[in-house]
This record gives sequence, structure tokens and C-alpha cells, in this order.
Amino acid sequence: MIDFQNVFKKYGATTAVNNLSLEVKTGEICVLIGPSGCGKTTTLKMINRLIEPSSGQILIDGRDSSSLKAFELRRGIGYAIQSVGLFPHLTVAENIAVVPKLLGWQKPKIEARVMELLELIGLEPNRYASTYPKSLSGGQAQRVGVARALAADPTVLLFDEPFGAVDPLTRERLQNEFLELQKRLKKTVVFVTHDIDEAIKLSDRIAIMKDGKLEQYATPEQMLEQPANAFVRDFIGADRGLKRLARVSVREVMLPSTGVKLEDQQFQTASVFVVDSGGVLRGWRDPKFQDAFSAHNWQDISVLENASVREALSRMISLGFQVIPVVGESGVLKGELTLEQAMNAKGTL
Amino acid sequence: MILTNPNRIAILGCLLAISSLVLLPFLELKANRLVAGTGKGLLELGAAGWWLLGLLVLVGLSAFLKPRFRAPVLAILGNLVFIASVILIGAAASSLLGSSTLARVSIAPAAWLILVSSSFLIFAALNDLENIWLKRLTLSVGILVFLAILLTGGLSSLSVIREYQTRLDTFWLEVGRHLGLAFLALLTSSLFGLPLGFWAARSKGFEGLILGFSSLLQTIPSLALLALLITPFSALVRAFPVLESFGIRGIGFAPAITALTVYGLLPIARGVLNGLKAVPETALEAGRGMGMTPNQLFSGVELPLALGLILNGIRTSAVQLVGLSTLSSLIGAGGLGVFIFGGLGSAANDLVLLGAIPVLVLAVLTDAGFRTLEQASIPKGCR
Amino acid sequence: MNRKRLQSLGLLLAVTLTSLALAQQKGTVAIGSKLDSEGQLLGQMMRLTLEHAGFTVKAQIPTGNTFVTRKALIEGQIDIYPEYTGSAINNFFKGQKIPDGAPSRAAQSFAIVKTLDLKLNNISWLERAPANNTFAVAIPKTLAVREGLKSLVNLAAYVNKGGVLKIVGSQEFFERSDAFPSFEKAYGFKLKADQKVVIAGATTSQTEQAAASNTDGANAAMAYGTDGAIAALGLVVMTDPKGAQPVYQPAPTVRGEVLKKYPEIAGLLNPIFKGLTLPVLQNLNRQIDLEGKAPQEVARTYLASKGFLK
Repeated sequence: MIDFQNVFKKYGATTAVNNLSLEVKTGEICVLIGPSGCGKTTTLKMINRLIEPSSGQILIDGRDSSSLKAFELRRGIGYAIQSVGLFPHLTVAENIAVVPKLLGWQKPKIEARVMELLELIGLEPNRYASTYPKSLSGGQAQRVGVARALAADPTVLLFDEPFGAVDPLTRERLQNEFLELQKRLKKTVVFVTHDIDEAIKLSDRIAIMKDGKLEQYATPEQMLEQPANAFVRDFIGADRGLKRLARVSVREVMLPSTGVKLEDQQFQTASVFVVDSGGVLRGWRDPKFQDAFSAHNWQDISVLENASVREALSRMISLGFQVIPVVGESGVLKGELTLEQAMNAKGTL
Repeated sequence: MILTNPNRIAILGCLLAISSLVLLPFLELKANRLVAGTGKGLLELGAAGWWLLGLLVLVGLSAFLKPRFRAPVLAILGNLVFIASVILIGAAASSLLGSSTLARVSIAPAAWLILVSSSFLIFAALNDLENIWLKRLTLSVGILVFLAILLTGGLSSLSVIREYQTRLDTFWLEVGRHLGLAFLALLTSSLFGLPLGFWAARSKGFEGLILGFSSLLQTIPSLALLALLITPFSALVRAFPVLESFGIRGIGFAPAITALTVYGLLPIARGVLNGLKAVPETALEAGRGMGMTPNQLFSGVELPLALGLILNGIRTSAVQLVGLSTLSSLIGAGGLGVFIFGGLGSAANDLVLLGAIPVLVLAVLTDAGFRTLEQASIPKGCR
Repeated sequence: MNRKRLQSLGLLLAVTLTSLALAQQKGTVAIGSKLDSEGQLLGQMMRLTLEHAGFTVKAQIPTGNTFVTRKALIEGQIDIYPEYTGSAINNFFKGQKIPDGAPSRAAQSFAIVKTLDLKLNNISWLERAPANNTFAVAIPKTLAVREGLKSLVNLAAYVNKGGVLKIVGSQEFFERSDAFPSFEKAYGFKLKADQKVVIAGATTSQTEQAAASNTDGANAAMAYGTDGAIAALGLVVMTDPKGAQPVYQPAPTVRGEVLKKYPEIAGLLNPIFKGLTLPVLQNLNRQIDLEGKAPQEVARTYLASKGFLK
């Protein structure tokens, strides 16, 4: 739990953070958002004391953060930043091992932890452990950045726009992976972004700030339904209904299906999705066109099961589909989602 | 079809060599050490010149071969041209000299140019060669054969070697002094330059002050600086006579190294400053955010990332100091400048060369050594 | 360490200490010189002589240019070095009143620097060499013999009666008022432009070479009095009886304290410098500059041949 109590940060005559009181519950993701200069990054950096508050207190799990030495405090808090900040002279494994080393862990324990984390973020340990950051893609580097923050298994994570520097498609994938990870790890996360869609999608609670002041602190649902004031309403934007769909994953509303096998020539009354012997999506058959098999790459015609309904909807519109196949990471068909199902989705989060 | 578009470097080298051979004097014969000499073209010096010319035409033709054939042919021919011209220089010099004790033979433009262009040929071959061992072999054969010819007295009729022989007893002493001066000055320059650069990187105000100050020092004329140092050092030694037992005096090593240190400071301080400034801010913030103490941040992040540029500064300084150490002879500290300034004073160009060539060689070697160190010190992930 | 080695070490130590003590008896003298080869030659002569006499010599040869070497002497960093009378008058006594014409008269200029330097800086000038290393005119010996030319007086008369003369020199030599123009003024002759061959930046060895080989019809050269090439090239120097040029005679300059402590230094060096006449210095310089011998070798051979070193 992170508890801000009447926190101020002043730089000369300007007040960057103005009397902030805010409680981030254990195991929740709190997203700090607002226009640039609103004080969100200052707020984040005051938690690990990269910036010292001018007055007020910040309690972490009930303990005053100023009671520890700054570097000891920081070693207990995971930290990932926008441009990743991986050390170019260290390998991926060495980057991940920085905090465990600072904490004086034994070598075998560090190695085991690094391997575990590489698995967790989906980078094959044997292949990536000894490579250098410059040979990683943007998405891979961000994953390593997250793994490095998780390395010493801190209870609190601070993310400063960690997915800000990658392309939109990669960003969505990273967000989905992060949500899955959080389901398992249940960390207390403070996450800064300027992207309202990202905030709605990831957060348990959103803290929206303006000129150093907290404007509203609420769950995304509450905020979408009852914006506290005109500023919050404007900041969220007009398409609030659509934005809500970002909070519902496809898996929750799809119709499970395994498709028909490629070699199965039985006559179909409706259009069906076709899979190979491993269950991987290969295309579809449509009775309207003499039952012809239309082959496709699964990446081009499907949506991942951990994607949000909003993403699925936007994909269906761009592909012109009434119904879209839903697949797992490796392309195995998991189900299908119709336009109607998507529009009726309310979400259960 | 084994012809292809020709190797331009090789053709350039070849044309340079042929035209200089035909147009310019190869050796210069002087009646004595001081007077201006008369040039002798290679083709006046006997049949061997025609052989060298023929060899060069062959090189020109081989530049049109396909790279696969061309590289080894150029490597061999380039080295052949180099070795042949060195032998030719030695032999022609000794035949020109005859039995005269006063006369001198020195290397004239055509011989210099042909040595330069044969190294062009070798570099052209290096570009095309792929095997690293073949590359090394190509590079080292010429140098080794040259050294062998030099050491067996094949060039002893050349005026520079004559100068060397008459100063045999002091030459190596001065080389040693020169290296000692340059090395000690590099040490003291680093001693002051490294922390200065560090402070400059840490504080904006300091940065301007330190860079301004060390740039200012660099503009002091060297001769004036040397002369200026005599008085304070003499006073120091008079006040603390014990210093004299450490070799510190108003003239000689102490003021020379002080002056050299003044000149060696700036590149080192600048190297540290540039190196530390080039460390990405995000890496620093990440390190701080993960709980590194300032010392851990410095040794674990800043230093390894800055090391390449720091060593670059030290290299610049070292090469400069090897050159500047010639000035030490102007304040009684010896070094190769003794020959250079002595030669300049009595208009004996050969004596000047006896000092200048070793300085050049030392500078090149210093540069190469530090470059290797620099390459090795750049972290793998940043290469 | 075994006993025997200990013994031999002890012996070595004893020998070293004894020799140090012996050397200490005679004392230590620091010798310097300027950068030019004549300066180095004279410096080496002084070093060899004093070493031979049992002094411990700290040699700093060469020390630096005129300014640096003189400063080292004043500051006591060297004890002795050879300097020229003309150079001293020109550079060291700027504020002092020097009588007109004195710099051109050897004895008078030596007396002036000797007195002034002792009074102002406690620096003693020992016996000077009877050789003048100043700007001079050199002509082929054949011409000198045929026309009976010995001094610039003869040369001026030769030119004025229409004798053929073409002189080669540097720009500086012809343009500096105290160089060639002062000869013309003092001896009353004037060369036409086509009688001068100007080579910018020429050294005296180049001009002497040109005059000796009659390049461009030249039969006279800019020279320094003690140049080593003069005799070798078959040239002779025209003497300067009217003293158009300041006299540059070399002599040892010694710090007063040192000379007081070791007065025998004067007795050691004076006979040597007395013997350094113009032809002798020309010959020694020739060995260094033309033959390329090292100054200390030339010095050693000369001193040995004269019986100063045994």
C-alpha cells in the first residue's frame, strides 16, 4: 500500500504537486494521468525519492519512506522508465541482475532468477541471456526493462510510461502481457501515462491530475460513467462507451470453438474456420462459394484471446468481418467473436 | 573474363610512383652535409631503375584483375615494389657516395613518393584480402624486410644513417630521455587532467572555468613558458635544497615536465568531460532508480560507458606529448629535440631528420598502442 | 645472501663512497651551452677539461637558446657556459650606456661586458678566444691572392675601381642596416642590384657554397667568421679593420661564487680559449658541420692533440 499524505513539491515559486493525498491499495494498478506538467511524473518519482517532497509524508506499507536511506528504499521498489534505460554495456542477464546484485544475492540464486524472469517475459533464456541490449527489438527491450524491475521481487512497482516508445501494435501486445502478468503477481503498481486509452485498459484506479492537483481518483468504470468535472470529461474524450470496451478481454465474451480440421471434407451449412492437425488457424470455408477453402496466415485474420474487445472491434471493422476468429499466442483457434457479442459486452472486471 | 573495374587506389599509387620516378629526383647527392645537393633521377642510376619501372607497369595491369586474383597479386607486388625500392635506395646511395667522406646522399622526392605509393598498393590489397592472417602477413613482410635491411647496414650510406652512426652514443640516450619525458608528462597530465575533467562534468560552472583555463594554457607559446619556469623552479630549489636530490632543478626535467603537463592537460580533461557527458541520461536515471549509490553508479555505469572517450583523450594527449617533448631540449632536458634544434641551428637537415623520424615513429606507435587499448576497453555491447 | 657476496658488496660500497668523496673534494660544477654547434663544442671542451682536472661535472649541453641559457646561469642552475661578447652587449645590458663604436672593437667590448657583468650580476668572463664569429664577407682565395685582397678596405678599393664582384646572401643580410649596408657605409662602396644574389632564408653554408662554385657568377658570400666551411671551400674572410660589425668573441662566463670557490677554473680554461684562433675554430666547426662529427668527439680529439687531456 502506498499512502500519500498532504504531499507538496515546490520548485521556487511554482508548485509541481499541490497537497496530494492518495492511497494506492496493495495489489492494485494505479495509473497517474494528466496533461504534461500536471505533476504525475513528479508524484511517481517522489515514491522512490528520486525527487524529495517539500512537505507531507509518503507511507509505503505503513512505513514512512523517508525513514530509510534513499538507495535502500529504491532497491525495494521496481522501477521501469520510458526509454527503457537498459545499460548498453551489460548483457540482458546482467541488466536483469542489477538489483539482486546490489542486494548481495548469491550467484546461483541470481542466475536462477534471471532465467525465471526471461521465461516469464517470453524471451528464450539460452538465446537472449548473453545478448546485448542493442540487438533487441523495441518490444523485447521493454520486456527486459519490466523483468529488470521485477528482478528482486519487490512488492511495489513504479512504471514511468514504460510502453511509450514502441509502435502501437507492440504496445497493445505489451499491455496485454502486462495485465496477464499482474493477474499472477498481484503487485502494487503506480503507472504514469499520458494515454487515456492505456490508463482505462490497465488500471484498477485512475488518478487524474491537473496543475499539481488531483482532479479525480476512481475506478475507470466510475470515471467513465461519472466524470467528476468538465476537465475530467474533456480529458477522457467523447467516445466513453467505446473506451469501456477496452476493459473487457475477448476471452470473456467469445464463443469457444475449435473449428474444423483441414482434411474434414464434410459439407457445412455455415461458414467455418479451418485448423490444421495442431489446431492452428489456417483459414475458412464458405458454402456460398462452393465450399471453397480460403487459406490465410492466422496473424492476418484473427485476434488474440487476451486482447480487449475494443481492439477486436477495431480489427473487425478494418477487416470487414462480421465474425472474427480468436486465437492463443501460437495461433491455436480458441473461439470466435461476432459483432453483436462485441457490442453487447459489458465486462465483468 | 578475369578483368573487372579496376582498383582505384592501386592505379593511383601506380601512376604516382611511375610519374615521380620519371619526373623527380630519386636521390640527392650533396658535396657535404650543409650544402644544397643535386638530384639524381632513378633512370640515371643504372639498369635497376628500369626493372622497378617494369614492376610498376605490372602493378598497374594487375589492378584490372578481379578482386579474387587481384588481392594476392597486389599484396605480393606491393611488397616487392617496397622492398625493391628500399634495396635500390641503399645500393644507389652507396654507389653515388663512392669513397668520399664529406659527401652525403639523402632520399629525394621520387624515393619518398615511391615508398608512399607502395604502401598505397599494400593498403589496396588489404581492402580486398579477407583472411586476417594474410592481412597481417601482407602488412608485416615489408616492415620486417625493411628492418632487416636497415639492421644489416643496407642503408648505411644514407645521410640520416650517417648522422645516426656519428651520434650512436647519444642517440639511444636521447630516445630514452624523450620517452621518459613524454611518459612522465602523460602521467602528471593524467594525474591532474582526470580529476579536472571529472569536476568539469559534475558542475556546469566548473566546466567553463576548467575548459577555459586549460585552453588558455595551451595558447602560451612553448618557448616563453619554458623560460618562465626557470625562475620559480630555481627559487623552489634554493628554498628547499633537498629537492635537488630528486633531480628537481630550475632547468632540465622538472620544468620540462611541468610545461609538457600544461599542454597535455586539456585533451585529457576534455576526454573525461566528453565521456561522462555522453553517458545516456536514461541509464543514469535507471541506475539511480534501482538504488545504486553515487559510487556504484560511477564505477558500474558511468566509467565503463565513458572509458572509450576518456582513453581517446589520453591518446590525443600522449601523441601530442611525444611531439612536444622535442621542446624539452630547449631547457636542457634533452630528448630528440637536441638533434632537431641542433640541426636547425646549423642548417643540417640530416641531423633534423635524425630527430624527427624517431619522433614520428614514436608518435605513430603511441597512437596505434592507445587505439588498440581503446578498442579493447569499449564494452562489447557498445561496439 | 652468502658471506662472499656480502663482502664484495661491502667492497663495492667502499669504492663508491671513496670515489664520491674524492669527487666531492674537487667539487661539482654544472656546465651548459647554447644550441648551436660552436656553443656545444666549447661547452664540451670545458666539460672535458674540468672532468680531467677532477671536478664532478653536471653537463646540460645544450641548455637552450641564449635567453634560457643565460637565465639558467643567473639563477644558478648552471655555473658556467660560453657566451659571445657581441651577443652580451646586444642582449644583456639594455639599460646600460655603451660607448659608440665600442661593440666593434674587440678589446673594448670585452672589457665592457667583463666589467658590467661582474658589477651587475657577479658573473665573470674568463679569457676570450681570439676569433670573431660575426657577419663577414668571404671570397675565393684565388681572387684574394690575385688582387691582393685582405680586408674590406682592399675589397672596397677593388670594387670602386671597377673590379668584378657579385655577392650572394640572404635577404636579411642585405636589408639589415647593421649587416651588409654597414660594410658599404664604413668602407665607402656601393654594390648595384645586379651585383647581389638574394636567396631568401639562405644559410651561410649555402651562400659560401654558391660563391665557391661560382653559381650565377657569384664570387663573394655572406659568411660567419668562424664558419667551418670557409677553408674547406677555398674561401677567405675579409677582415673588418674599421669594425663595421660588432665583435662576437666567445668566452666562458662563470658565476662569481663558483669562481671564488674554485679559482683554478680560470687557469684551466684560459689557455684553451687563448688557442682558439679563427683558423682553429673554423677547422673544428668544419669537422662538426661538414663532416657531421659529434661536438664532444671533436672537442676530445682537439684537446688531446694539444696536450690538455692526458
